Amino acid sequence: MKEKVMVKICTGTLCYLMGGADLQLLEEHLTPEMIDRVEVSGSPCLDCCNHDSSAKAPFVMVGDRLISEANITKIVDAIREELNLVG
Amino acid sequence: MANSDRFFIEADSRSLSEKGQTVSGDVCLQRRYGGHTVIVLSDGAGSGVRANVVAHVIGSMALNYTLAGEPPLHAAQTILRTFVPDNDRPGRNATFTILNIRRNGEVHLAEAGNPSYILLRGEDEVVPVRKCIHIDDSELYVSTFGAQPEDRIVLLSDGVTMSGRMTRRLPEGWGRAGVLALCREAIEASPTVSARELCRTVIARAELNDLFSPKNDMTCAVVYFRQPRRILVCSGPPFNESQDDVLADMVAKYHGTKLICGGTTAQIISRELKRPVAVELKRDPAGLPPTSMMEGVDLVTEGVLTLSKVKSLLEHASGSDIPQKGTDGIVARMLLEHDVIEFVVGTRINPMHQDPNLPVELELRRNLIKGLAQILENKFMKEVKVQYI
Repeated sequence: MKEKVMVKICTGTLCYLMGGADLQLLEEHLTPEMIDRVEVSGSPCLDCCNHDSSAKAPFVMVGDRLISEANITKIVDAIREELNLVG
Repeated sequence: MANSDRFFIEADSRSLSEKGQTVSGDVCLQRRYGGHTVIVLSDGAGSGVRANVVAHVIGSMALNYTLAGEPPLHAAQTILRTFVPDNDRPGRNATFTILNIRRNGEVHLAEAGNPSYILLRGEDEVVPVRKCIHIDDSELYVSTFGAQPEDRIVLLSDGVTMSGRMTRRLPEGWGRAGVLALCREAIEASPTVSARELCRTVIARAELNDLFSPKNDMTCAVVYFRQPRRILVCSGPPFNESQDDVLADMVAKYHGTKLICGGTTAQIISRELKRPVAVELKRDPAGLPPTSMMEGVDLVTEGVLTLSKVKSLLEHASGSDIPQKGTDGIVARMLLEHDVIEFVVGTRINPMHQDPNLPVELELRRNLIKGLAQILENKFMKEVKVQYI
């Protein structure tokens, strides 16, 4: 069993408003070879928007890396990179 | 607000209008004010819009006289003398019941024209002791008693007691005895049946008696002196981070239903109590962020978006039936199922929420909950406490 990549989508108010709502459909965009190796879950709030920084919502964690202004393409790209590293 | 510590006064009513009429000629008004709970059931003679207007006038007169501290007898006298049938306005005298419950549990009733009230102590009926007073040519019945926990008072309009008249099964109508038997049956089956459920049960049966086409407006109001059902609603992170553990402690030690509205709030409580939060990633019919689960907490939702939807839902609801399937509906129903609603509002503000570029305007949590609390208190007669942290 290969190690899985954990994807955490923030569902906090800000992330949800800034486009996080659409990220819940992430699983539909995963390619067949990814599906078994990715675990998608949600988080009530990743606590990224409470800190002053230039990064903008919505936030998603892919493995250990934080993706700001996330969209499906960015997440899928990150997963692909992570899987290459892990695999 | 209006309750002694021993019990909460749950009051609800249900009305059905005569078949073919869009409005009911019966009106049930209720208000809590300064330690009093006042419920007025008035019946405008006849049916339709005219009856509805008359009933509203009688109802609000009775309510406002009573709230102004006027003894029910005086209020009743004035109303009876105002609505005297004459040649221009044929019909009957004003028909109403005024029920006034004081903070100490003292109950005062004044009844004119409506069927006599029913008092149930547990399953058993306590036969009302009523004093008859003649005012001009109408009869007014007044009664007073001290309420006890688990008492229920049932008020009826004549449409309920007369339901089923002229049918083969109930040629004389259902009658007060019929209503009483049904209530006792319902209480026996479920001893803590709520006022809300009981008045619906009565009206459903009355409708059935009339073979589902009500021949008259029918209204039933029930008051239940019960053990308060409590809910704690936590929303917002504490202003000082040092208070995080205080908030978590409140959640851990609370006796009653627990609801957390706020992602950051949920994270704080999860961190302090070392209980993980699991988000259920699924689409919400109302388009709200998904809900989560936490051990020992009944429901975890997102904060301001959800609460503003709940507020507008409750603001526009015409009764206490909330059919919406989304998270807003779930939260609204949860709030309405309880008597005592305790809000704990964290006042720390996320500066990002004030960004003018956000697609929707986010109301300040404090104002939002203040508005929600007012609606719950004034429209749904809940006992609401708000504390800021």
